[in-house]
Amino acid sequence: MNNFLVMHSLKLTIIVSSLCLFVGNLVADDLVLKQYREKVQPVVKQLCFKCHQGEKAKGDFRMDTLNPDMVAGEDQEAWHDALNRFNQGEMPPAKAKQATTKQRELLTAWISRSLEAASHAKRYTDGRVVTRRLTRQQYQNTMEDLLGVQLDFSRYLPPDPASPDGFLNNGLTLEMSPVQLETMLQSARAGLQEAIVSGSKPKIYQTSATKTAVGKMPQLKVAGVTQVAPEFILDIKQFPREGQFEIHIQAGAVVPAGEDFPRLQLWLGCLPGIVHVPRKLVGEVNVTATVDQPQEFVFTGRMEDFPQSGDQPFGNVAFKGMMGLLEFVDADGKQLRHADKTYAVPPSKKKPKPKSEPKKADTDKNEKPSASPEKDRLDIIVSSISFQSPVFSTWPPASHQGILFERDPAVKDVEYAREVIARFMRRAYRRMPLTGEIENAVLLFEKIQKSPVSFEEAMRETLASMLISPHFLYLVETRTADAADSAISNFELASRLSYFLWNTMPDETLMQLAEAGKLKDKTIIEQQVQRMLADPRSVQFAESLADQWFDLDALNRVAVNPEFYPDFDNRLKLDMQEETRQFMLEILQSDSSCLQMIESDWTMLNRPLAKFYGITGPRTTEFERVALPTNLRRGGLLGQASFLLSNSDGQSSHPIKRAVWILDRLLDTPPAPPPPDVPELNPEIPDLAGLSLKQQLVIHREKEACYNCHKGIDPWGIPLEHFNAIGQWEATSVTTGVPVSKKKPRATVAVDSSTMLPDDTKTDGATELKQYLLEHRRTQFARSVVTHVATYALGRSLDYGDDVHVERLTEKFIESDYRLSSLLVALAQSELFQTK
Amino acid sequence: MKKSWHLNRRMVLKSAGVALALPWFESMGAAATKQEPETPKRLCCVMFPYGVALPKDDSPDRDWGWFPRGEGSDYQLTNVLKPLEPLMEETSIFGGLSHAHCRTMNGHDTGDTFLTGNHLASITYRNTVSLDQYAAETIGQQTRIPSLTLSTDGGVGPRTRSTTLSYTSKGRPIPALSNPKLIFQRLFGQDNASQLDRRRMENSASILDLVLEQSRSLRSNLGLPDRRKLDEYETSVRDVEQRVERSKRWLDTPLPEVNSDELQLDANTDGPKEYIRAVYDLMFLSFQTDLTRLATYQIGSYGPTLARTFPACIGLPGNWHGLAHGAAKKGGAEQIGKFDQFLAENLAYFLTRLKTTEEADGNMLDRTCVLYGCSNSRTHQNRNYPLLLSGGNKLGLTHNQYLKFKESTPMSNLFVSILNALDVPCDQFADSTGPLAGL
Repeated sequence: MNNFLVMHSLKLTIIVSSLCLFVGNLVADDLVLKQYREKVQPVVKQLCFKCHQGEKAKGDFRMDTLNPDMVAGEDQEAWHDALNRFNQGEMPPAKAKQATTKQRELLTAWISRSLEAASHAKRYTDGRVVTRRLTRQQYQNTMEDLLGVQLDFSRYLPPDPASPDGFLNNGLTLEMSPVQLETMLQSARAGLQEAIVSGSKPKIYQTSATKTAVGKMPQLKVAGVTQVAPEFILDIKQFPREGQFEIHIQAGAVVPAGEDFPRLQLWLGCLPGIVHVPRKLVGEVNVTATVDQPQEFVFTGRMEDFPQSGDQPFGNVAFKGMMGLLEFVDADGKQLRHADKTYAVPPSKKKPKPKSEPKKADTDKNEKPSASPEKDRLDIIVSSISFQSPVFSTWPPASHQGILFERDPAVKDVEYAREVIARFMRRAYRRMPLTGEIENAVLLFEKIQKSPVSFEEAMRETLASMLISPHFLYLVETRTADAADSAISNFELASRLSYFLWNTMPDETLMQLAEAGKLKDKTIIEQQVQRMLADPRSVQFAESLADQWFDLDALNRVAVNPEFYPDFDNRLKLDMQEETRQFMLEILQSDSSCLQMIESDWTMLNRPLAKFYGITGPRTTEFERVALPTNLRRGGLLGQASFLLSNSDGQSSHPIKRAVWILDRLLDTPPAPPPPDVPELNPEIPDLAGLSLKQQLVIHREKEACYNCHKGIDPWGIPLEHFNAIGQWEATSVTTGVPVSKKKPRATVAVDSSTMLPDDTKTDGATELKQYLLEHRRTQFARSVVTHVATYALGRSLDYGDDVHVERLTEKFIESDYRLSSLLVALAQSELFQTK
Repeated sequence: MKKSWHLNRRMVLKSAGVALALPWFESMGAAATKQEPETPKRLCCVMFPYGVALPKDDSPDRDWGWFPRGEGSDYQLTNVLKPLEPLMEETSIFGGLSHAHCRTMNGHDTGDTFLTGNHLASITYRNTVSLDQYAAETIGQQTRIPSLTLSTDGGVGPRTRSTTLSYTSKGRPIPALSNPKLIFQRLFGQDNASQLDRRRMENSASILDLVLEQSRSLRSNLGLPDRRKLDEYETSVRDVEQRVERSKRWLDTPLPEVNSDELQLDANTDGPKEYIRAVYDLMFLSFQTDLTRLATYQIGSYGPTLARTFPACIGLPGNWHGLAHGAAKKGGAEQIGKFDQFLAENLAYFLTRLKTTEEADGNMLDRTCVLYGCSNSRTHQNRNYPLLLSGGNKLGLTHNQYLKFKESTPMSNLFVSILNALDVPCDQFADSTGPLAGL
């Protein structure tokens, strides 16, 4: 006990003093060095100096000259190496005098904390990066909003790297490369080509039908080719190669009592030959309306994104143009087939005819498809479908008019161009443009117009220059002449708010408030934050925050082992991710307590995921709030499969990964990363297979090299042991993943979810763990929420200087009953948010 | 009007299902080359993460170890590298090599330095030029695209867990392309010949000048770290300017026509075999059409990677990292060994395509060096990299051997040998002490 206290206080002082390094000069704090001289060095001397001292030091490694100042000194790596060898029991050699447990703890703690401090100090040596490039997603959203056209602008951009704290919008880690810049110039041109039109309205292609076209589809059995047998085909004989399309479908469903709603899938593709049908999914919808009162669904996309037929039709295929292919599936995703129905694809003649006489089906052709739906079987009835491309509600389109506004014929080209440039620049640069900037762009316009191009083309090229300007691609926050003045401007604040809560550029309301200099008013900020949260664009905030904070992408990095879970459908991973996103969105929109992230009596589910959890309720793939009145197993983030699966190894639960996630993402106290050359669990230990994971971890912890860290990690994951690798509840026993014998491929052990948390609290199971977190770690959790949200809001890692703000915000957050919207308002009003 | 010899030489190569017109010497373009061009020398570097199984010689699992038995010309391949057996006349395997600077780094950090050999202390993150980019300074100038950087995950990824093998002369990571369709698009998609594009290319120079000027005047209003961000931006602008310049020279040279029908461009990481092959096919095509002579390809990464699930997709239990960790467990060597064998099969597929494609006085593999390996031996160990080099028989390289080295021999010596073979002047690369003996 005494030992623990000494240890703890030492750690605390080191942590506190090391934090000071962030702002101070590049020298380690006196306290750290004093600790070295008084406590650490005597131990090093006793254990290491015998061999590693002076000119003839063994292995040419001198401990006596190592600089204990890891911030200013050059010896971090040597210390690192020493720590590793010591941790692995390589040093001191077996014959030499060994360290006592106390000495071991002292040494490992001091060295690893000093190294950590050094690394932090180096990272912040040069101050903060405040200028951040737009992330891939922000770029996409901003281009769409600025140009008013929906194109996949970011398709060719490489993914953004995650920062050390897991966020994608960190200015320091967001880099720029020639590939990106080149791609963005191409995207700018493609977008402007679409937004600004020349000439007269292009031909619009339209097709519609009330019943399916009928024709043969490839029936050959060829490896790697999936056969396509749609329910309904829209024959699109003529179509443009490029541009937006819209497909409207009217449909209703017959749903017998007790069954769940069917779904309709729309694919777009073509028939290039006799082997395969290249096609791509446009979308999938739940059909919940009745046949008498059908729903209208609108699907949109771009022609160039879908497989198109060639100019010359191939042989005598049934469909020479493109096809809209409809498929109906039941709630479980199984294709709906009724033997007596007419389908788009006539049955193959080679096969024996089905009993239901397809000839008769032919005579039915003229009847209305909804003529007599059987009342007792699940089905979808499509009453009409229509295709249109390109889609223009006006000509020139709104995007064009938004940039090239109506022109007074008396105004000269260059004068008009100047006004177009000024207006566009204000939106692109998210501030008032300077006269010089406008004039430079006008010069470029005049230069381009010297070659024989249309006015529109010259305008497109001029505006393209703004779309690769640093003022557009970066959230620029300039310094004023007064270096001490770190306040951001009204326009900079508008961008900060907008990219924080919408992930896109500020709208006209924010711009006008900034222009009027009113945005810093506390009441106005509050109104604006509330307005922004009520806007659908705020869904982006909840999703991005959840994705990055909780590392939901990790779901895709875990392969579920089909030998263990043969029934697991990988598509569920998307639903798992969606549950957590929707959960955060619901907390935000219902303006309720963030403590529900720890424990809640509800969650967000759709039918597949509810089924997976063994909960009844949702009847479609849409997510809805589901009450968990009697059993809180699925309450809070720790009950969600997204967390449980992404922190497993795909075959067994993984208490260490789950523990690290809790410590890092929920409590903001990430454990140190594992040292290099981590020793594996020793396979020599007999019969690991017979042990539960918890027991294996005990053996793991007994290795002294592992003990120091793992005693503080493992207990956090063990209470969740009832959840298996894919996040399902196992009441009694789990498989360990360790083969026992040929006959018995994997050992089964009883679940044991009891453990002793690092503060000696006994805990058993998830509910007790969540209870403990609510009772004893509430404030720490609140601080963690504030820290994570602020890190995301600011686009940089927080440092020592931010602590005081974080504390203040945490207090307010707790006072507001942990409501997220209050935190967002307080954060937006705070000095932290409004200074560089 | 095309000159008649253009037409005479035009031919259609059909190999492994891919039809294409224009062998390399024509895509070079008449304008770009006055004298008869020499046969291209090429380099391709492939890395996979996490290490391999290293069972001892007397272990029953020995046949699932990566390294062969024996030494020198008297060696026997294990199951893992068996797929390369027909290619051993063109292949050398190396044991014992590693980057000395990187031995003390975290086991998961060394993907970044596989081709740089630099010590990447995690507190500074500073990297140095990679082998392919070093070669690009000379070789890259001769082709439409200086070099090709590919990886499973794309982008640059987090530092010390990066998803790219290529680093500029300043040590900055080069974002990798990952999606076969996009790679194809980048290689063969844009033909700059149209009038509109031609005019836009002229405009590009003015546009880039303007934004460069904007960036420069912005600098004075920013703090030091922000200026460093602008450095990145300005370097990128200048680089694109050079590309535009280079593209102008290629304006009158048509892009090679490649029929994409037989390429699996829709392959993705759900089907590792199709996916890996598609990327190998694209590298092959970019070499064959001489769009580029340099390529790097990182399969997976040491960090969060889509490739973790690859072993499961071919029916092996668990994820890649887990398999690598379990290499020393009972039956573990066979598991990871089977996956390493799968990777070797795919490599063999690529090498065979090069070898069976005629070029000049021999085949394409004769003048293409393919470096393949991993920066861990067993997982987390930054020593004794599993490494092999294929090709370059007509560049003076000796093959069909398993060379073992002491740890005092830096792996960068191998880089020097490769560069020398490619006629890229290089006295020293990273910590090299000379060319590698025996190659």
